[in-house]
Parts: sequence; structure tokens; C-alpha cells
Amino acid sequence: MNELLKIKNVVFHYTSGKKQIRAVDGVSLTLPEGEALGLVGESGSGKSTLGKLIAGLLQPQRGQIYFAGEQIEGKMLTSIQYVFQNSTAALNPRMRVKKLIEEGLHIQRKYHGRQRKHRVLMVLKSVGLPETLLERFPHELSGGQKQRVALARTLIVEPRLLILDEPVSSLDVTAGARLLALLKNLRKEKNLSYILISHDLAVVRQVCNSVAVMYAGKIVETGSVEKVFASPGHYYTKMLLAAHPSPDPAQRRLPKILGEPVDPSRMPTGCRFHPRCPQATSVCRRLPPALFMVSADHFAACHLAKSQ
Amino acid sequence: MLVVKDLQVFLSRNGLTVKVVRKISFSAAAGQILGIVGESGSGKSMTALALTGLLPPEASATGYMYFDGKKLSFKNSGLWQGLRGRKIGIVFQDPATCLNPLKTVGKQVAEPLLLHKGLSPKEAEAETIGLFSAFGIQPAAQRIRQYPHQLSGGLQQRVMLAAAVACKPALLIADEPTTALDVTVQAQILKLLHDYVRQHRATLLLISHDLGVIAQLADTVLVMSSGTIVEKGSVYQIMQSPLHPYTKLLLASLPRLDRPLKLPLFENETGISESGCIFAARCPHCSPICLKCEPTPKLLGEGREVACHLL
Repeated sequence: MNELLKIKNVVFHYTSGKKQIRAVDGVSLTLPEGEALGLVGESGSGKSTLGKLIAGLLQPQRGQIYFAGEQIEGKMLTSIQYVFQNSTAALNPRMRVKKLIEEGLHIQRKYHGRQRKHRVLMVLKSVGLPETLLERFPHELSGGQKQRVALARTLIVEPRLLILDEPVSSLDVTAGARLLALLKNLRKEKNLSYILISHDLAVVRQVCNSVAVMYAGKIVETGSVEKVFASPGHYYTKMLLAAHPSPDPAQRRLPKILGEPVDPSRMPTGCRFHPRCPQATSVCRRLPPALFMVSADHFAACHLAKSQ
Repeated sequence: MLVVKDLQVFLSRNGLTVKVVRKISFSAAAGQILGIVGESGSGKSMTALALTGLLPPEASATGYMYFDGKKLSFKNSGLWQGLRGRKIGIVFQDPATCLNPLKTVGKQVAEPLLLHKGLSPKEAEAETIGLFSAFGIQPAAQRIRQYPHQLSGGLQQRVMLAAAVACKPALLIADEPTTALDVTVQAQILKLLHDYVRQHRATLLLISHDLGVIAQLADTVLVMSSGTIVEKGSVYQIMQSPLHPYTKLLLASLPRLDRPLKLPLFENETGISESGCIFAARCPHCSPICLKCEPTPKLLGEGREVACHLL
């Protein structure tokens, strides 16, 4: 399959006061065209920063990002669109839905008059919103509708890659489920590729076919959703899966979770997860682990990972 | 033991009055965890605020609550003055906005101890250090001198919890206590809540939109929608064999680790019916009677109640 996105050794550090935050610290990954990759991790893991680097909203200090074979040197491409987490903040409160959606075409000076109107209606339909909303303002919409408008804004410029930052975390469970179903459908219909950033593994399970788990600015595990969820190779992934609350009371467990999410200004030595890992050995405290092939297309950065 | 009878909450804005909680009644025994689940606008947070006497000025409430051997009228929120912090503890969703940024976290946890228990500042500090250690806010002796911004979100929520239970309240109300937190930290906070209830035989009212959180902790569950209780039952009944179409929809909408969701793409997202069942406009099984009459809760035994015409 065609490689749509390739990231090589990307680094992004920033300073906050006197602290140096190593938000993204040497990340490499590839995304074939038409795939959906879930980027998961706790807050502070660097997943949103990585998303912004791919979208060109931030420039990497080291490393390269290639899109469709070409290096994107700090450019923002029309083909890569970012759907922000908080749609209430992302939508201009003084613009009506129609104007919000067509803004991309306006900026690109593409399609005019009747053609542009037709495009807006098509996109509106594809995200499942009725025409009656066109003249409304964002404050007159529900959370689910706002998120759909934010999605429609990006779809109108016909992107190939969407970066979805926590698309359902601010929505009610029913509105969230409908949005996830929509995302699943859109990908097939328009042959889109996704990078879905989420702290919730169950959300990733619904939409994505592959997953990359981030911890402290690094990818600690990557592979297909089936493999990683069924037999996680990294203890951190195991911990995330165990912490997910099951809706079945027969499967009650309040798992023992060690420690707190890492403070990115104070990275531990060796494996960055070792202070929270119950299986950590002296090697883990000294040496940072490289990605180890657990099975075909399934890698884990853990000294203790075994081939499956 | 907590008994709530005919609680109604009205909100007035711009001369319009909206009923946000519609005559709900429920009870919870000592040592019991009662989960309240529902979407935004279901009235679950207003219920929490009414039970703590903290309704906003534009709200008014009617009904009674029996607690601590007293009958408290929701009309008179002044009655809660001596109870809050001493007999009723509260944990809110967002610790960052609930903690005072200008006071050390130690002082904030010690406050109820000084006020209600009459401890000396020294005794209160010693007790606070004990609470911090018990809740994993380590190293406790240093942490008590820090300010909220120096703590992570998870630690801030532990501080909130420590302050809420400092006086060992018999009733603890937690309104979305883990919504702002990572799953791993969520599991830790839920464990602390669970242990507190079991150790002190307290009653916990756990409010959440997350059925997973409710399933992990609650003994009994109230499902709320548009200000009414549509279904009530044990956590097993609700999660394993839901009867009300709304409960079924909630469960079917929850993203799960073990299987993909199966949902129709576009159906009525919102909408409350003017008359009849509050869920009628969204219900796939809606029949003429649902649009006309409001269903009365049917008692099905074993504490189970369902408000649906179609049962």
C-alpha cells in the first residue's frame, strides 16, 4: 500500500518557565494511505504535540515528516486537516454555519456562486446535518452538531489526511457514538486516512485499524489494533487496557495502578516508564529500550518484551 | 441512610422557568454506592447540588430529604450550613477550579477540621498529613505546604477528596469525580472512593455520564433523562438487562474494548417531547400513548423500577 505519511525521528522540545519539556522526543512512524492510526497515551505523553507537528502547526526541531513522498518543511498542506478537540473554541462564534463551512474555499479562492453552495450542501449532507442549520450560529448548535460543523469545515477542502484530536471527549455518549460511526463511514466513502488522538483506547478500537501508544514523548508500542489489544507487549499498554472501566459489573476490577503520568520536564533515566513498572529490572533503569518486534507489524519498546 | 422525596428543581432565566428535575425520589442505605447516570441536561448535577444545598441563586427546589435523623426541606438551603463538610462531603469534577489557588492545599484540607471538629491548628495539620499519606499525596509533610498549581490533576483530585472526607461524612457526593482525569488516574481515584465507603459505611452518590465508571463502583443505579428517573435497579440489572429504551441506547453507545459499536448513523439527536414520555421523540419504539401520557414508574420487584409504557 502507498505510504501517505512518514515521520522520521521527529523531536520537539519547548521551554516553559525554567523547565524544558521534551514533548516529542524522537518519534518515527508510517501511515499507509486509507488507514486510521490511533495515537493514545495519558496527558503529557506528547500525542497532541505530535499531531500538531504533522499538521504543520508546529515545526520539528529535528527529524523529517514526509507526506505523499515529499518532505513538508514547516508547510501547512491543504491535504492535511486538523479537527480540534474543543469545537466550541474552534468555531468563530460570530460566523454562521454556512460561512464557517465555506471558509476553506473562500481562502483558497476555489469554486464560486452556485458551485460553492453545492459543495457546502454536499459536505453538510456527508456529516449528517440538515440544511436548516446553515443560517445558525455555533451557540445555537448542540455539542455533536458543532463537532460535525468542525469536521465539515475540514472536509470541504478535500483533504487526504485528517488529524482528529479527541473527537468525542467533549460529547455525550450517544452523540459520541454517532460521531464515531460517521467517522468510520466517511473514511470508507472518501478514502480518507486518519490520525486519531485519544486517551481512550475504546474510542480507538471503534475507528482505527492500527495504534501507537505514546509515553513521555516516545512511542512505546505500535501495531494493529487486534494484536495490540489482544496481546499487549508493553506493560504501559497493559496498564491502560486494565484501567479502562468495563460496563459489565461482573468484570469488576479496580486495578493497582502505580504512580502518576510522567512529568515531561523530569524524564527518568533508562526506560521512561520504569518508575511505574512493577517488572522493572536494573537494565530498565539504565538503558532506554529500542522497539522490539513482538510479531509481524507489532513492536514494543520494552526490555522484557517477548516474541509471540 | 438517605431518603430523597419528590425533589423538583426549577431554573429561572429571563423570566422563563424551566423544570430541570421533575419530582424524583430515591433512597440509599449506609455503605451503599448509588450511581446516577445520564447525559448532559439530564438533571443529575442539579440533583447533586440540591442534595448539598448549593443550588445557584436562579434555581429553586421543592421536596424533602431525610438524612442524619432530620427532615430537610429543599426550599430552605440554609439548613445545610452545619451539615456540609461535616456530615456531607462533596467532590466536584474539576479540582483546578474548585481549589483556592491562593491557599496551600494543606490549609484547604485542614479547614473543615478547624471549623467543624474544633481542632487546634497543630492537631489539624497532623491529621491533614495523615489524610495525605492515606490518599497517596506523598511526601505528605511537604505536599501540605504546596499550592494547587504545583500539583498534577490527579493529585489535585486526591486533595479534593481528602478535604471532602476530612470530617468522615456519612454522605459523600461525587459529581463526575474522574471526568477530567486520565484512565489510570481515574482507576486510582475510584479505588479511594470505594475504600472510603467500605471502611466508614458511608453512603456514596456517584454521578457520572460514564457507564463504565458506574458499573465498576455502584451497587444500585438511577438512569436519568431530562430531569426524570427512567430506570432504577441494581447495577447488574441495569448493565446486563436494561429495560428502558434510553438505558439500552446509552449502553449501546458506549465504546467498548471488546467489540465495535453497532449504531444507526443518523437519528434524532436531541429533543424532549412537550407532553407524554420525555424520551418519546428519540425512542425507536414510540407509540401513540407515549406521546400522550407520561409513564408512571412500574415497580418490578427487587427494587427495580422502569418508567416506560411498553413494558
